[in-house]
Amino acid sequence: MTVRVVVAESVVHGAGLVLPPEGTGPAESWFDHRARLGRGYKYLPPACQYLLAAARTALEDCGPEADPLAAAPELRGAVVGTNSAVAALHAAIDETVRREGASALSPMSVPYFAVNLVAGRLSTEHVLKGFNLTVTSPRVAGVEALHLAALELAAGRAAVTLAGAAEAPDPRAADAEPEAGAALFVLRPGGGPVPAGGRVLRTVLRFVPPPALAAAEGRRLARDSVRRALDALHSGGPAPDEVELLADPSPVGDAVADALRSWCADRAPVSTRRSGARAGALTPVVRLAARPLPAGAGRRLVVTASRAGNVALATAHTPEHTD
Amino acid sequence: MRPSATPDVFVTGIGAVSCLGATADAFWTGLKAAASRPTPVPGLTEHVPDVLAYQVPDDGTAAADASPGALGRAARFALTAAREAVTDAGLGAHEVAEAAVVIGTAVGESGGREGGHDGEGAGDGTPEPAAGSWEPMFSVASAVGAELATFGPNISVSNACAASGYALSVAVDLIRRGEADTVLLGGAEGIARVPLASFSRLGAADPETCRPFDAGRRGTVFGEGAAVLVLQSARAAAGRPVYGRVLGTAWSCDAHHPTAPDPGGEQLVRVARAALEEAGRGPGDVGCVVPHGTGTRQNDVVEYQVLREVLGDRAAHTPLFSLKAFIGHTAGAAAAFAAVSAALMVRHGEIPANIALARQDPECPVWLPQDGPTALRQPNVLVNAYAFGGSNFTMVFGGGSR
Repeated sequence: MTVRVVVAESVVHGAGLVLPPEGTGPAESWFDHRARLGRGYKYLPPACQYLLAAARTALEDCGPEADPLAAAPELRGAVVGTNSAVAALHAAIDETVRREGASALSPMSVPYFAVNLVAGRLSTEHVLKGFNLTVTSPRVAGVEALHLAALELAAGRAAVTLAGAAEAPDPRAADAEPEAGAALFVLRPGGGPVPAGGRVLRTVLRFVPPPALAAAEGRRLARDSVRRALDALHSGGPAPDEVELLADPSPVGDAVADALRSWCADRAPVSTRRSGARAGALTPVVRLAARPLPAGAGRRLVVTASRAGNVALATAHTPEHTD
Repeated sequence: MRPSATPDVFVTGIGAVSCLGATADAFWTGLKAAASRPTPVPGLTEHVPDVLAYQVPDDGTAAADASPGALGRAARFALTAAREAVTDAGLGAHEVAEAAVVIGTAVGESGGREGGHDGEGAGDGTPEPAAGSWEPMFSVASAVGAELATFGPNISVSNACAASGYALSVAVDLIRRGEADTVLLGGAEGIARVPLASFSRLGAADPETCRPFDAGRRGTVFGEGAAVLVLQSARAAAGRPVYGRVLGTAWSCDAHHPTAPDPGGEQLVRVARAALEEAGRGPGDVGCVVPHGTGTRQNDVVEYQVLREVLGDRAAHTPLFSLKAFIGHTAGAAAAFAAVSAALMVRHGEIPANIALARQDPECPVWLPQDGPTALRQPNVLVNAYAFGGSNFTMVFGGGSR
């Protein structure tokens, strides 16, 4: 491979998590939109409500002295990753049309069949006019959003970007665990000051075509691709202290797990506690938003691998010298 | 205008599957023939009687080129178009293996998740359970990457009707950052019940034909298919015939309304000017505009006003090519189809005649040549794509090899 691995870096200034209580079933109600958001949000898809609530928390988390919305509207962006934010809405629209015809659809909710309206509402709410991007790669879309947001910041197309993931249970999740909730960061360009409570995110995106794993050459390319990504991610920095693998049970998941364990052999143990099939892209972002490691303590590495071939690697760490 | 300082991104291959046929040649021939019409959608007509669509002919041409297995309709179109583009560009196995894939799609494989096919469905309001492994709705890009065995970054973009425009911006950046030398960039959409029924409910579906800028237009008419372009760095494109270059791209967000464009058009103007600036081109350099032009009342009026603002007095003398009148609104694939159209116009040096309007809307006095092909006097084509959520994209495509 001659093309280079690009590591995207950004600084987290605020984070917001909206998640169901542990043990909540996919059909159980757990989010009170009226209490969390106020009036006017009733017809939004649940994933959009979660995202808006997470954004409010993330913006408050920045503190009053560092208002991210002080930047010009054209320098404020949003990048959101999702797989299933409107899957239930699609199923409901489809069912209504089949049973009663299109005239029975609610004009308030049907526009949200377009999955980018979930993030679009975020832009309307906070006047983010720079750009609004929705990405949807299986399992990795959340990290994909963080990656592309960091690159947009690095390119100077925004001074601040809200980026993360939002999901609502996919009624056709099949063997996978449905996801619900939102995780959102307020990001500023990499290399800038890291506020107290902030952290640095670094991300790399890879792809392993599943059919290629049937041949030795394909397996070698996959292993090299993951190793190069890990090397690039940790270039010039400390080894990871915590390593977490979030992989579908699949040939791609196995290949990534092998490469990761090999690379981590003399560095850190690999946890697979949260591994398994999931119908969404939320969990990796939630893990990156988890309580940061102490300043200078090392990095939390989160590796996500989907059955479809998408792979995302991300680290979060707190530098010793913060603002 | 000053020359652009950004690294060149070349288009070296194209592929297209549309209602006009399953190749880019068939696409161009169909544009020249200007005879396409939308048709009723099997399985939808009984539920939404007034909805038509520009559908890919079911003659097996697209499906025959697809691999066996569980690929959805959008992925089959995308794979067929991608294979054509790869062949057109003359990519070797090593180049394909290193390629990135970036595909825009509004609803992905939503159509494959619909109930009621082959007598399925309980009909009691309960979504049908899915058996086996989870099949993500947005799997077109990964399906293309899997089938072609690409190891480069693989990104799925879903900004509704601007999705493949946004994907194009992402793809260009991959090359400019050196993250990929070759990108298979495209858009794909299969006809699905949910968007068609939703547009019908919103009163935004024309029951006759897609007729942007016509006084009698009543909304849009969806189309389906896929368009794929091979984008390459100067290093990778060296020695190949090229269609031209992506000179500039830009995006913005209205942050105004879920479905309606900001009537002031401020962000639409900004995005067009930004793309022109990045391209190092001015209003006088634009040889043709492929507008977003959907046929919805407000969109067409606002887009005319934006072009008037951006191109100034030259707007009245700059020809538009109203692509959606030929293939319908292909939603997430629309910008990729517009980009393929731009590449073909630059290669042939002409703009096909527009489908004749019954009566042009006096509120949209754009120039739509309808009496035969028009020479492309400047080899630069401006492409617009707008979407729900206020997502705005503009690209400047330019001819010339270096």
